[in-house]
Amino acid sequence: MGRLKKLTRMRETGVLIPLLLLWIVTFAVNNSFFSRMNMTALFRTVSITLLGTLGETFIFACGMMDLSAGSVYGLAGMIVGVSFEFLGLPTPVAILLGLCVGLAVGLLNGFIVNRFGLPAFIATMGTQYIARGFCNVVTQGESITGFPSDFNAVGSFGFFRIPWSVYVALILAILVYLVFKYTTFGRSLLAVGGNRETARVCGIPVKRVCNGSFIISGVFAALAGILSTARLGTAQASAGTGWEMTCIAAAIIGGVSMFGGYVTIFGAFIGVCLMETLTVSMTMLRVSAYWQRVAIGIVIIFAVGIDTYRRKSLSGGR
Amino acid sequence: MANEAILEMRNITKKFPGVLALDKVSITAYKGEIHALCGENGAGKSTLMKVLSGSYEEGSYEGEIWIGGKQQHFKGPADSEAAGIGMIYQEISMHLDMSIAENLFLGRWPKKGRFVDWKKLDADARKYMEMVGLTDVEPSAILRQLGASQQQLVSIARALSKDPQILVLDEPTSPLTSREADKLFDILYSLRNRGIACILITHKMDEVFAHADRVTVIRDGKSISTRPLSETDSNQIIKDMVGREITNLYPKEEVPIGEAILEVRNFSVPHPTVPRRKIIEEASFTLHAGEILGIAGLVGAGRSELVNAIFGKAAKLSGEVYIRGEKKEIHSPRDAMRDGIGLVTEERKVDGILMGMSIAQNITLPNLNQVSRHGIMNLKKERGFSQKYFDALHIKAPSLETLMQQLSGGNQQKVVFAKWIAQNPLILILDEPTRGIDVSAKYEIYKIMVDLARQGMGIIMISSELPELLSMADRIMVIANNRISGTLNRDEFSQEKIMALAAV
Repeated sequence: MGRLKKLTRMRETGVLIPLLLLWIVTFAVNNSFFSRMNMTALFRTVSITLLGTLGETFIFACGMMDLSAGSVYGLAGMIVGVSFEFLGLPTPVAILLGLCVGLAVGLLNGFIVNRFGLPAFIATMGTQYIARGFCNVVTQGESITGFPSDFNAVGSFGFFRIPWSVYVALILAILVYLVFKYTTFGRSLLAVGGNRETARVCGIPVKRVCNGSFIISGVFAALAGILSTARLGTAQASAGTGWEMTCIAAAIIGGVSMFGGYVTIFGAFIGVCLMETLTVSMTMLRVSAYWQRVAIGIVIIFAVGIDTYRRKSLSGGR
Repeated sequence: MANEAILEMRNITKKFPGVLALDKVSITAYKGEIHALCGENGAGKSTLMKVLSGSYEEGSYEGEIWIGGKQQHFKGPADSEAAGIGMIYQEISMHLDMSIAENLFLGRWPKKGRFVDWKKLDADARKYMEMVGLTDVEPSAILRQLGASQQQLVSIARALSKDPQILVLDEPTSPLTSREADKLFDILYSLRNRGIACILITHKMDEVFAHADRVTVIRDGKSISTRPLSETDSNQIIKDMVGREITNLYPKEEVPIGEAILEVRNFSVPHPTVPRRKIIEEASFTLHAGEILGIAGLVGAGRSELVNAIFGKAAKLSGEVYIRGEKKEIHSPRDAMRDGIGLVTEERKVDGILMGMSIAQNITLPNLNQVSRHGIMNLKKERGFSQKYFDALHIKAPSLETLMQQLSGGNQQKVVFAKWIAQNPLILILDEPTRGIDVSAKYEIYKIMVDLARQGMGIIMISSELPELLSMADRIMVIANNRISGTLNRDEFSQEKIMALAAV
């Protein structure tokens, strides 16, 4: 009985129950919800978005927000396309270049925030536009297709006919969990988010830690963009537009604190499942796309409300 | 001087949970006088003025306020203002990005229909600016571009524009040079001649004796004395400010004092709020192993700013730090820790603890390298490490996993001590280490300090509690007027001497 109590008090239960309910309801209305085809498509999308959410988790942990993830997603795909189309580079190099886009934008974000003291929200809004601009500049807005088969294979199925992206996301999720629980970097991130000045007085290299989180967020977003491009077979200048909002919403709904100091990887995963399932389910339940947005908006406000309430009761303690 | 009383505060009593801030305090101000109000840190001056300004509404305190022979009932600051009380605070609280004219009449800009009447605003502003001698700037000048003294004059002009009968000035010459201060007093004299009562809260004895007509002293929430300046001297006033019995609640022991471990030379620190001003100028001192060096001074003197700059938490303008004879470059807390210095900050809630994390996590935060290898944490080692200090400092909590926000102030402070002690520093700086802590926890912290001193650590302790300093310190350095005004050895200790050095 004690274990059941512990389960109900777990923070993630607040998101897990609605998710399971949603799944059950959708299945009741449309039996094909749990079909192999549907579940594969669902978890494929979940794995891509999860990468972005994991990246945002690092950013949230130190009390910041990264709005440039969607543009990095798009630009990484474009750079991969350019590598094949115009530079004829081999697949591994192209992928590496794509990841470097994430690295570069991450470094830029870190530089702007640390050097000029801009709030992360504003700095990443700026780089969001800059990176998106580059997406269009690179090919004058045209998409790129015709990738080599070994690249397309990356976007396809792996062992047990499960998409490679699912394996990638799963492994990275476990790694991220371990980083937060067992590394000094993870501990430092949470300290900076908990109270930046306290962390600084204790000798935590705050700027270095924040830079690290921007780099990770950038690289994860680039990876997501590359995997998505491989799956779709085309690189589009508009790919990933608005994607960071989905990732951020998923993190918040999942229980990762927007104010910093607390993360939950399992929660982030559930949050992503919920966001992506909402879209799929509402379509299956014949809910119009417009109402879907209304529903998501309500869920987000609710989630932030709970986070804020929890934070208030924390500091009002003594 | 047969002046009539314009203000009477009678038997004001104000309680906060666990603290009696004001105990039947009475003060009377006459028309056309400059009345100085003196008292040390925490004596109750600010609380009394908050009652007068209506910040504490009627009902939240006992006692009466009478103005011009009529009893007042303030439900808020607006009532107090309407009754003719003008407040000028120590910190400039105006909109720096608005013009002088806009600030002067904030909330009551003259209107032409629905629009602001800029012409009239300008004209009205000029009138009051002239009154305070602010004649070398335009009413349209943005406040941020003005010097501190000019901003102060705008504050005063604003208060005057509300036509007060009583003007309360809280440490008004803090941001001013002595020449600017003289100009300010000229303005006060002209106000006095117009029959306005000026209550001057100050700790500067020379100001009190040069400009005030009468002086009231408050101590520990009680009004001690009110005297005309002609019938008293500064010794008497200082005695009134501090005179109390010292009871021995301090576990001070004689500890052998070793060689010099810290030498600070010619330290200058920029003022935190007033631009282009120094709050500490050319301060030099030495700290020895096993010594507890107390730092005394009034609030705002710059004690925290000095130690924060030494620790690298804030920037310094100039100065050198020598540890065991070697010059050290300290530009960040990391540097200070590397060189063997720890800092228990003034307000633990702001920058001392992580509220949402556990005791263990707080203790290991500056010590991550001691409980990890190559960046990977050893949680078992973390538990053992923090348990050691948890036991050594007798922290009272259910477990190491207890969150900081569930601990009492005293236990929270012990966790702060623990995390620094675990560093085994040469020098530990304590900024008001027992503030907001109950008596038994205070005693335990004093014992910890003595233990550390016995182990050869050099301790610097900033405190506003004179009894605490007198009992625990081996030497006391007093900061006043942006400098170290004096250092007392243990055989010279007395509350009066400290106050005399602090209230320069």
